[in-house]
Order: sequence, then C-alpha cells, then structure tokens
Amino acid sequence: MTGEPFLSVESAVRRFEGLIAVDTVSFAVARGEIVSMIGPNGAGKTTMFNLITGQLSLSDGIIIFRGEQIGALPPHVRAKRGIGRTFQIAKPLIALTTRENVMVGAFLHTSSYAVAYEMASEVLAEVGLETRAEVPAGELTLSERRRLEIARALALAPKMILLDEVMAGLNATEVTKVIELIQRLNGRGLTFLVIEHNLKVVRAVSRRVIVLDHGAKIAEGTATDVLSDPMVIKAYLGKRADERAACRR
Amino acid sequence: MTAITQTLTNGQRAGSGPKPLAEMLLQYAGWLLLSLLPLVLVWNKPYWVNIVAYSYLFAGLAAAWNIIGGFGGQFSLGHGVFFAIGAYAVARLYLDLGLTPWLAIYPAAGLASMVAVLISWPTFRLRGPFFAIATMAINEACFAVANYADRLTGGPRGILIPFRASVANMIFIERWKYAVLTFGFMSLVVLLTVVLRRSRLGHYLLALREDEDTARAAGIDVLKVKLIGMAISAALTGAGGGIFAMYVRVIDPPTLFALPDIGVKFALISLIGGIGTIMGPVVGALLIVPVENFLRGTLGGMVPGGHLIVLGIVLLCAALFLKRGLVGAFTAVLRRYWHGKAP
Repeated sequence: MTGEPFLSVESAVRRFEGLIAVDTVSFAVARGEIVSMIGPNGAGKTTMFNLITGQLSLSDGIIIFRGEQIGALPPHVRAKRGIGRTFQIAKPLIALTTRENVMVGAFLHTSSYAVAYEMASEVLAEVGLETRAEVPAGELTLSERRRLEIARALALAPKMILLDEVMAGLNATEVTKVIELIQRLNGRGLTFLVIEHNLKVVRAVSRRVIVLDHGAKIAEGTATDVLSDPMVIKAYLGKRADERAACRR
Repeated sequence: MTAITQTLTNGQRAGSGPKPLAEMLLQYAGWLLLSLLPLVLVWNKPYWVNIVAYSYLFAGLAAAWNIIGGFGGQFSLGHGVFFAIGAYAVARLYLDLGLTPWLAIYPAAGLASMVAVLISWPTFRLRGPFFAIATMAINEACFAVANYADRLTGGPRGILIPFRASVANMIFIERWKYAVLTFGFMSLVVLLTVVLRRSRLGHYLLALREDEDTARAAGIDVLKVKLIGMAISAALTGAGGGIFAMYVRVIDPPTLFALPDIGVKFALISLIGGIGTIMGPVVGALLIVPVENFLRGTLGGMVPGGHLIVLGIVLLCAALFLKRGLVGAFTAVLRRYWHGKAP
C-alpha cells in the first residue's frame, strides 16, 4: 500500500433483518490506486459499494474519505465530496439524450448550460460516445450504456470512482477498451474501487485485490498472491477447481 | 424537419454546440403564435371565443402542472388546492383591499407556493400511486375546509366579484380580451418551461423522474429538487387560479375543488397532449376543452354525465396507445419519416 489512506473503511457492518450482508469489513484505498473487490455472488460487494456511496446506511462502523467521516452523509453529499459510481444494472435516464445524461452529472459543479454542455462533450469523447451524444439514451447498446454510466460518473469530476461490474456482458474488444479507459483515467490520478468478476481484468488493472465471502473479508493482497491463496480458491473458485481436479484424475 | 421533431420533445438539436436559448424561445414563440389560430377562426362567435379563452387558461394550468407532474414525474392530483388558493387570494385582495388583480396575482402565487411546499414535504416521501392518492385526499380535505372557512371563502355560497369592467380590474366586456389575457398566461408558462427544461433544475427533475438512485449518485438532492419544482408549479397554478377568479367572477368550493374539472383535468390534459413535453399541455387543452364542451352540450342533455363517459374512454385510449401523448406520437411519426428518407 502506498501513501496515506484516501478512503478508509473501518469495521463496516450492514445488517438486513436476520442477515449480515457486510460483516465487520475494514480496508483502505490509497490515492491513485486501483483496488479490485472480488468474491462469489452474494458476498456483499455491491452492499459494500452502497455503504460507501450512501445508498445504504451503515449498521455499524465508520467510513472516512479524504480525512472526513462520511458514513452518515446522504448519497448526494458524498457525490459532491468526490465519490462517483456506476450501477451494476446500467440505469440510463432513458427520456434524456446521451449528452443530457452526462450533463446531469456535469451540473454538479456548474449551473450554466453552456459549461455543462462542454463538459459533457469532453467526457463523451473520453469514453468514445461522442457520435451518440444526441441519441435518446434508451437506444444505446449494452456496451454503450456501460460507458454512459462511467461518463455520468466522470462528469461529476470525482476524486474516486466506484465501478460495479462495468465489464459484465461486454465482448473482448469492448473489455479491452474499458481497461484502457480505466488505466488512462488512473494515469491522471483518479482513484478506483472496482467490483469485477473477470479475473483477467482484475489482473490487468489492479495492484491490490480485496476478497469478500459471506460478507467478510477473507483475503487482501496483490492479484497474484490473492488468486493463489488456497482460502480464496476454496471460497471463490472452489467448485471449479475441484471439478478440474476431478477431471484430471 | 429533425430540428422540429427534436425541439418539440426535448429542445435538443443534432450538430455541434448548444443551441442558444434565444433561438429556442423564438421557436416556441412560433408554436404559440400558431395556437392563436383557433381564436382567429372563431373571432366573431362569442360562445366559441369563450371556450378558446378557457382552453388557453387550462393550457397554461396544465403546463404549470407538467413542471412537477410531467418533468418531475410526481403525479399530483391535488393541484386544485393551489388553484383555489390563488383564486381566493386574488378575490379577497381585490375585494377587501382594492388591490388590482394584476398585482394581487403575485402574493396569491406566493401563498400557493408556500402551501405547496408545506403539503409536499411529507407527501413526497410517498411514491407513484400513493403520492397521487395522498394529493387527491388533500384536495378533498381542503374542499371541506373551504366550505367551513366562511369568512375567508364565503363558504358554500362562495365569493361574488361584482362586474366593474376596466383594465385595472381585469374585468372586460368583450370576451376576446379574456382570450388574449389567458393566451398571455399560457405563453408565459410555456416559455418558462422552455427555460426550465434547459436549466439545471429541468435536468434534475427529469433525472429523478427516471431513477432516484441514479439521481442521488449524480449529486442530486432529490427532495429539495422536488420541492423547488413543486413550488414553481404551484405558484403558476395559483396565478392561473387568480385569473380564473376574475374571469368567472363567482367562485365557490365545488367550482374550485371539483376533481374532474380541476385537479384531475390538469393531469388529463397533459397526459393526452404529451406528458413531459413542452407543447403537450397546449395541444391537449386546445383539444380536450372544446371537445368536452361540445360533448357536454350534445350528450349531457340526453344522458346525464354522458360526456364524462366519452372523456373517460378518450383518456383510457390515450393512456393505452399514446404513452407520450399526441405530441409524442407526432414527433415519433416525424422521426420515423425522416429516418426512413435519410440514407
């Protein structure tokens, strides 16, 4: 880990009636880092995201972002503090054009139509949607919708961005493009926390990986270390590894 | 042609650079001028001039409703309350203080706006149909209060504004002057909607209508934006109520709070014209108000309430087949035509 923590989650707990979705999880993300969060379905990854962005409130624990406790702030204030996010199920605002979707984000820092328009143009060019700017967002393809999600978050001019499975359903070429986009933005100092199932992507983008299982953190480290950790293999890849072993026998 | 289709629905244009606001306002001013056509056609028939004047007034009122109901997606059926507050306030200020209605409209709008915020604070926690039902209930509660608050509203007898024709009194002998007045009101609300649609507030209202979680993640204070939208919508509705009071000059609770004639009608006009579109309320009102009057005249004599049955069927069909109203359907056809022809 490099530098002082940018985002720090300390003993975060989220209980739903009778179920502990996130169980005393602590981790930190440094400025300029790309950290991946992996784990089987239902491990609590998206819940963890929702706790960081304020879509859900903490049952216990604290979250510190850039030296400020943000655990009790409503989601729109956390967006103002510099946390952008995408949703696992891409939610384009379908009555708006692609550009207007991005402008909704850009209006966070300006009330001027012209300024927001320009910001949207820049961001759309960044994610490669400039030719689709005036199309109703409902007409975008899955891959375009995913990029629009990223674009709307980028328009907030965030300090940190949380990507929730932005690669799901994309083909290899599209995945490569998004990886390049993440690396380019990271090169400019943007910090990332990424939920990802595609392990190639995890290896490609992240220096550090956090593994959740049944709401608890079971491992943390470099991609190579974590992915060879027997506990992780058991929890996350267990079945398939067993099956493979069985086949070899 | 694409410019027309796109500006009709969302005021955007293909091509580079944002379209100047002045250009958009001019474009809609053109559409508004076109809506003067019905008035010109019936110029020397006072009965129809009257109906056209009503149509413009209700176009303006529906456009005001459309700000929170259409763009904001908060399906209020309680706008009759703000309408009534505007009507009573203008009548009282005019009769008791001798204030000219031209000025009385402002405090009336302000009062409607304040009441709207107070009412909406708790009800905005409700979503979808529950919000609609709650606002309808508030409308009925205020109906009862207006009946009892004798000293303010004249109770069930209502308030009678004596006929003293003068420009200062906003009372005219010629019907066409009312039509010009209500046309002015409608134009003001529509042009305001154009400005709003382009503004940050307009984008935020549309965003929260589409998805509140996404809106919050984009830094939008959802409750605050809803309240601001409601305050603007209610203020304009109150102003329309004030004009209505000076127009009919007899206002009583059944006239101001009747759901099918006021609260629901704003929504109905927008729905048929095109909910969340800028010109939808104008198109809807110019269609519904004359048709309703015609049906009331022809069917009402034969089958009591017959016109309501026909209107109900029209509304059902609009809800089933015209999701974005007449304006939405029209722009969809134009778009298809254009895309079909373009290589």
